[in-house]
Amino acid sequence: MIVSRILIRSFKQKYSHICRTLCSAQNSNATTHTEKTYPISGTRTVFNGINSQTMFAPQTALIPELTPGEILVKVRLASICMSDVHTIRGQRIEPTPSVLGHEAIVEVVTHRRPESDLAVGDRLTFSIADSCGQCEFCLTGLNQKCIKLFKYGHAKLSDGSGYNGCYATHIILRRGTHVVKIPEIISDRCAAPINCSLATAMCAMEYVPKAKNGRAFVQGDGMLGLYTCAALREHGFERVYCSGTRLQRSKFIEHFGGIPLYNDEILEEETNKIDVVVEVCGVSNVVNDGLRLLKPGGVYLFVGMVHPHSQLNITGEQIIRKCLTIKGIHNYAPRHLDQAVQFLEKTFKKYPYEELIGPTYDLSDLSQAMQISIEKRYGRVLVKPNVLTS
Amino acid sequence: MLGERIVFNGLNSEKMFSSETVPLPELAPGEILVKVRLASICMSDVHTTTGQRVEPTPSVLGHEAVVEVVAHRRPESDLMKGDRLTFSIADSCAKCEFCLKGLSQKCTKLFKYGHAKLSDGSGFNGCYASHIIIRSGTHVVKIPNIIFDRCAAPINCSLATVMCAMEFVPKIKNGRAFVQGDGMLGLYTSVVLHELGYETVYCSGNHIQRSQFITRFGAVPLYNVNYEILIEETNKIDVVVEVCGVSNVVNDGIKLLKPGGLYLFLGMVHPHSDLHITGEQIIRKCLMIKGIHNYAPRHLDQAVDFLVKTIDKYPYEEVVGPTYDLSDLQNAIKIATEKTYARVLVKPNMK
Repeated sequence: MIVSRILIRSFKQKYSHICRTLCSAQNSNATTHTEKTYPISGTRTVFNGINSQTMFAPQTALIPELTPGEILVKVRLASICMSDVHTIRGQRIEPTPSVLGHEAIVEVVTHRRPESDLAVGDRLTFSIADSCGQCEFCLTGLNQKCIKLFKYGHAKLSDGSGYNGCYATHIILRRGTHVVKIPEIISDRCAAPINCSLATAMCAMEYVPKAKNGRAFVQGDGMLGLYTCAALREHGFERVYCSGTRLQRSKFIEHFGGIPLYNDEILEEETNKIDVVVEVCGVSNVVNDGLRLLKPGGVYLFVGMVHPHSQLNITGEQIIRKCLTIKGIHNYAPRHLDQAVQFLEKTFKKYPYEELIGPTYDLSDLSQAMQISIEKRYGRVLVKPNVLTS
Repeated sequence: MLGERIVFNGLNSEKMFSSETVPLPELAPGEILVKVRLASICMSDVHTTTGQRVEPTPSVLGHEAVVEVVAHRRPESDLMKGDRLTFSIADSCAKCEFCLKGLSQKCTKLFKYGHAKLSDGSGFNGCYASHIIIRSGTHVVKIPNIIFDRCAAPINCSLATVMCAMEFVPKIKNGRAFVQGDGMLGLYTSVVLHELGYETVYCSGNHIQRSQFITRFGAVPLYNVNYEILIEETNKIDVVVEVCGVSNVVNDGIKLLKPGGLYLFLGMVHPHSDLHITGEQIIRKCLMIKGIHNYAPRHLDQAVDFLVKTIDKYPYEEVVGPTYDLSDLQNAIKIATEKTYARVLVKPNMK
């Protein structure tokens, strides 16, 4: 009788202990280390290189345990950046095998950042660059050139967790990666391109002076070009010209505050009158026009020509005689991601961001989605993974 | 009162230089009549006489000089007869958008001494003359006694231009810089970077006899394109300054710069300056390239202040070469072309 009571008591104690553990696992925002509450495997689309038999191959793989500082996210929606298009066309070389894709809006599944206010289900954007925060570049605000730089969508499969790119169901965000919550007002479709295109445009804006009655010229009508038009207008620029090769974009340019220029209307009358020119088309032969248009003391931002076929056909004299500044912009630092989200939130109703975004393809249809991207009909083509719930 | 000037008639004329003695015009309000104490020959004038640069003709060349007040019509100033002055190469309006944002050298009504046709203004527009009439939009700065004429002459082109360049140079802890060129601009740039606190300043050039000067101006001389250093310092240099006028150094400069670094272009002020670089090189390293042409009034002040502060510290006198009489200008220019000295001087025979 006594033995059975002891047994019942100890059973009750064990039972309540188990209950308590389960309850704390459900309620805790800081995750537990002991219980796995997320799927143990995910799917990623591996890029094997342009010369391989299967350029893209889906792979289901275990999701590793999180280490301190990491965040496991599921990809809600990814967008295809033109640089990925260049990679699959052989104009850029990235390490292989790898998971491409570096623009996405994601959702917290679980995390190991107890000092943060992250909660399961939070929609996030995240920095393409994982950086150390301690080297001379991080310390001078140039995190994108961190000596220990790691870039999502640009890393070999064997580097880190392997869940390194956005063309996947999940990503493991490393501890040196800055994240920003996406306000509810911003839809997934508009949020996806924030962490490459819009954040890069914010970085470029850091070098744009405030010019009274300022005039700018944006060379390129892609996502970068349209974001830059809006940003320049919000910065107070009176006249923002935008040139490109896609006539169907002309009404978008207008909606984003720019004056569209097509068919070589090269603005003779604006020679020497433009305060800022921004190259966002990736083509080097626009640079001579840009130099001609700039006024003395003007600023030229180079953003798009991130590939070797960008030979410049200019002289030192052109730069000196007009006292010009040329600034190269590559990626961005954590503060620019914050600025990007703030900018989008502030102007969400003002500009037709949704209109720029094209159709959504399933992750398994990535090749097809890339093909549509190449055609450049839309500012962005989206990819949505078929997420298996745990 | 008469003044003498050496008129440049152009490369293809029978007599490239001819001497002329003419009456000095009356001064208009704001103008200063100065006599030239000592002029120095800037390399750009050498380029003009060898055809690499084209200037309007006929004209009086020469834009670097230390001058002395003879008379003036600036009653609001504290100028006195006998004051030694340096003066801005650029005469500017102070009202246009460029003057108002501190870029006076690109004034919409810009006038440049030593670069103007004889018929433009008073005709006493250049330093290869006995006198200059300084116009009302020209900034002037008094030269303290501690600075002798030989050191003062190159202030108003070379040293002031370097001060303008320095405005864009960040103060960096343990900074490393690379100066491409060992002429007057290169030597001044080396010493200013050194004074700014840069830990290592390399200076490369073609004139090995300058190497001991480079050392004494606070920099590490590099000759015969020292490849070892180039490899060691790849991606490690904070600031590169082009002051040699040659565009093929730019690829080295870009390789040396660290991400986020700054490239200043000063010397390539002529059309044969094709750059063989890609947009990618500039973007991937987030580089800034800044073109520096001439300077604004504040840089002339800064130049004089800098020289006063450091006149006893560096051998400014020694890098300046011999003095020729104004009537010997052609010969003086020829010696300047040989680049044996950083500067060759010209002194008018004052009657």
